[in-house]
Amino acid sequence: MNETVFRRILTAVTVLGILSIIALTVYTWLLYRDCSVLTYIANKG
Amino acid sequence: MRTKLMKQLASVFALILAFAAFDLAVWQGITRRYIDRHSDEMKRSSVAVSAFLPFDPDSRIVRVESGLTLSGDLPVLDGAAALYPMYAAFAHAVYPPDSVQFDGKDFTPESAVQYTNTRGAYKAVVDGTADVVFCAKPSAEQLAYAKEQGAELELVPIGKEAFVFVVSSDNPVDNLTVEQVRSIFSGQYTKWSEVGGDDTFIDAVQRNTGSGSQTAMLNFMGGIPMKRSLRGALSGRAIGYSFRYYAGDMAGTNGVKMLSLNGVSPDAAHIADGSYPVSSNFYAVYNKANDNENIPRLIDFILSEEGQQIVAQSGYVPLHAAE
Repeated sequence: MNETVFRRILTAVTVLGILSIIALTVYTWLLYRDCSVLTYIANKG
Repeated sequence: MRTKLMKQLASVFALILAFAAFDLAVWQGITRRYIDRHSDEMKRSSVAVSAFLPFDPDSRIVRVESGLTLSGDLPVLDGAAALYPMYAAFAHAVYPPDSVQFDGKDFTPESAVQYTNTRGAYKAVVDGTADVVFCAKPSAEQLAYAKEQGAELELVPIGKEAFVFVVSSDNPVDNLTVEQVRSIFSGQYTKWSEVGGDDTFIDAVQRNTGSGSQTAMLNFMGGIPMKRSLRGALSGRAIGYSFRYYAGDMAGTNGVKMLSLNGVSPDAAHIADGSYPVSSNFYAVYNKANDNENIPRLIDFILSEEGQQIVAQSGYVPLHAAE
């Protein structure tokens, strides 16, 4: 594989990975804001 | 050439795998704990207010025959989430139907029934935007705020309720002693195995300051400082506290169970006979300086046979149930 193409693929995967972490963090924060204590306890096992 | 390609593909694959593994760990360890199993209505509010609306034919509130209908300057009612279905039923029993207005999401400012929860209700009765509020005992901060504003609060006991400790329903522990609970919340016990459970850390969850249950918990601890362990928060099984009716019938959360304390379960009979160790009164609270003539009439009704019938049928324990 051409070195330039390889680097572009790595960059694209890294950007998508970071975006997925940001999306998951925002989703978790939104859930955290609305979650009741009882739900938290039930989910925690 | 072929080896180089294999290395490049392996690098890309390893990077994808690393991100996926990280996201999965966050999901398993943190995100899924907060997924609410409630309906949308319950997510918007800690109580499904519209399910207990006064004068709504589909309402789930208790209805009793009452010979009293208040008129004139109606006291504005407010209170704790755990007591909302009860004081909504008081309004239904003795207020005229046009006194309560609900816009589909919240009570309008003109409505004689409001719902702002314990913290909001105590502020409202001090500030004069509510006349009678239904809550557990006020916190030290709430009493200090009343004093600062020059308000003297009258607390009239109107019923009894158990303070309960809840764990996940798959937690093998069913009973704790009062001392064990205090040791858990003070951080002395850090693992469930120390109180007969499995070998996992304890996550002793606390409520926000000023909530009715947090004030009750501080009273229960009797001045012992509470701690929450980081290991427990990250990987432990949780324990929390609430009032019996809220944790049971009202919140309707599947997957939690209430613990017995000192071998006594928190059911109505044990609260009434005093054998459950942590039950306490809840109150109708008003400002002593408030001269609304309907306040004593409303309180008299609440303490009457009909009023106490509402307390009992709403799921709480009447004041004189054991007598």
